[in-house]
Amino acid sequence: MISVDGLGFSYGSGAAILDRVAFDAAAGRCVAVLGNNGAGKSTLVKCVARILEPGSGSVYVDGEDAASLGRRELARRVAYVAQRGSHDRLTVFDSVLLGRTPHMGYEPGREDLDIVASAIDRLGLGGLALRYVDELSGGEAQKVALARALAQRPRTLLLDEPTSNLDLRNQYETMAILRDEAARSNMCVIVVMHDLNLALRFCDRFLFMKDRTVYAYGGPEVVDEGTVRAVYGVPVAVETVRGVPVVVPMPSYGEGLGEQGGLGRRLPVAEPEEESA
Amino acid sequence: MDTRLAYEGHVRRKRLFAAALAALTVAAAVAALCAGSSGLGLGDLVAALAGRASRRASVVLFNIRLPRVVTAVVAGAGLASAGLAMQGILKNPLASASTLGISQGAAFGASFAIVALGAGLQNQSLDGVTILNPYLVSACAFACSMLSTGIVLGLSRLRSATPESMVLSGVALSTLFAGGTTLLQYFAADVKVAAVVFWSFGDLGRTSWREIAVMSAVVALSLAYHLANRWSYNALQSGEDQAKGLGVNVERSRLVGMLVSSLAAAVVVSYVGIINFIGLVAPHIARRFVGGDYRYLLPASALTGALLLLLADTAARLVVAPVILPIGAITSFLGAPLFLYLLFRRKGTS
Repeated sequence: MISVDGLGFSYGSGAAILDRVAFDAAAGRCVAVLGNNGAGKSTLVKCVARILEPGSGSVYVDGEDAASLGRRELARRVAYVAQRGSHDRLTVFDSVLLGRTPHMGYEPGREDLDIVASAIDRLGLGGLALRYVDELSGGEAQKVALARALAQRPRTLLLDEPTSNLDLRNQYETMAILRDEAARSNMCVIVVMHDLNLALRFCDRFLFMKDRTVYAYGGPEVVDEGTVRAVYGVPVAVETVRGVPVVVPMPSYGEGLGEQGGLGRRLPVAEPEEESA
Repeated sequence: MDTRLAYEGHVRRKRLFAAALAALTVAAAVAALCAGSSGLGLGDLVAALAGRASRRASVVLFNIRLPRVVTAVVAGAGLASAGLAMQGILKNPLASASTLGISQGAAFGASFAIVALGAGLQNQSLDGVTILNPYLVSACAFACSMLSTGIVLGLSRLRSATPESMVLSGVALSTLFAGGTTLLQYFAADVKVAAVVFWSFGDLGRTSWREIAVMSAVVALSLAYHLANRWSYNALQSGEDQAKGLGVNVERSRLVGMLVSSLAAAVVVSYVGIINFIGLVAPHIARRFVGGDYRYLLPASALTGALLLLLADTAARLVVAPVILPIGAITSFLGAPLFLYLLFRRKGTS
């Protein structure tokens, strides 16, 4: 259970990145954080995990002010998965074992090792357990980071684009795992993502960010043509294909976009920065 | 739980490797005790331990060779573990006492003590050069190397600097102190310059038991600190943000970790002089064998450093005995080819 109130952030004395952001996310929910590049999505999850210190406002974790919890205590309740998977010279098992550090003493106990092993198996990494993370592919490293967060057994899981390096099948498998974990462990999952269709398929709350603050927040009903167009600046059609809601970009129907203007070519089919990762 | 069992086997292998390395270090220490120009061997060592050796043999073994061997082990372990911690905290493979201005600071401090405060003089009648006031030289060396660390850490606190800029400011300070040392030497009399140069060669034979005790205590405390924080170091390898998400207080562990490792390196360098290569190369050699997990990497690096310095010192004493070659040069001669071999052997296969 996360409650964010009046959250503001800026780097040094520079322009605000976040401005009066407020939302609640209940346990068991899977929340998609959506919006354009630079809308403040990553900054928002970093502020909730207190990786960045918010300039104003508060974050409540299970009803307690996150600022009053120690870093270790916070890490027992909130797990964070960074955008880029780590590429360190640790074995997959050791890397996932790091998720137990907020819970364990000087050495991991048998229970810690079992939790780690089951998180590894949950993500289908069993065969890679003793391989070094820096020898894995980008997608595998991303799954290691996710397994580490699951091993952390948090009440709230924050993920920054966890599917950006994954192929189609792995994207759906990973999101299904997240949705199931949210339901099974009554965990609040907050995911920054770009793929609206993937979000519609697996998440039940949608938080649209625009101009440093929340533009719209709610269930699937907020994902309509007006909201998506306003947030992304792209005309879309929201249709239902065999019972599945899908968002289809329709740039050529827009005024001045697509056919006449040069802008149509730059529309985000795939993000170049993600391909290089 | 196949995955857990496989992992437990993996952990056993790492522990076995660390134990083997420890045994090798002990063997090298015994070999170093039995090697020298006075013709005393393993038999004399056993006799001396049983109290049946001649007075001369006991003096050579326990008052000359043993302090030297212990100094090599403690200094090697101290420099290597400090280098490893710095590399991990700053996420920079080039971080070590010699790249962060600690060695150069110590060299400047020692030069200042010898040239300006008259702590050292050449003495031709004995074996070359003796430092008149080794305490003053060590104290000045220590003060200046900690000054260098203080400036690097102070700047990073003040401007909330990144690890890269900490390394770069260390390089800048190294140059500054090296320049200061050059100026001191330029204006000093020949005999004093000789003493400065002699000091900066590094020598494991300078330490008495009292100094060894101080050095051992500091190195042991710093090792204990690093071991207590090994999970933080592991988490830091996944990036600063990820480490914070795992509950690590990144700013504090960076500051305290740098302070502790600089302190250990400064104490060692102040007592034995400049030994450049160990702090940089021993952690990398250990990493090639045990991987990046600080639980095993810390002890393995400390042992590798101790072993390298022991072997280097034994070689330095034996190659053209009874002349003892400067230890700093020997560590480089032994370490650099070994390091290059390991670096490119692995690169080719992966």
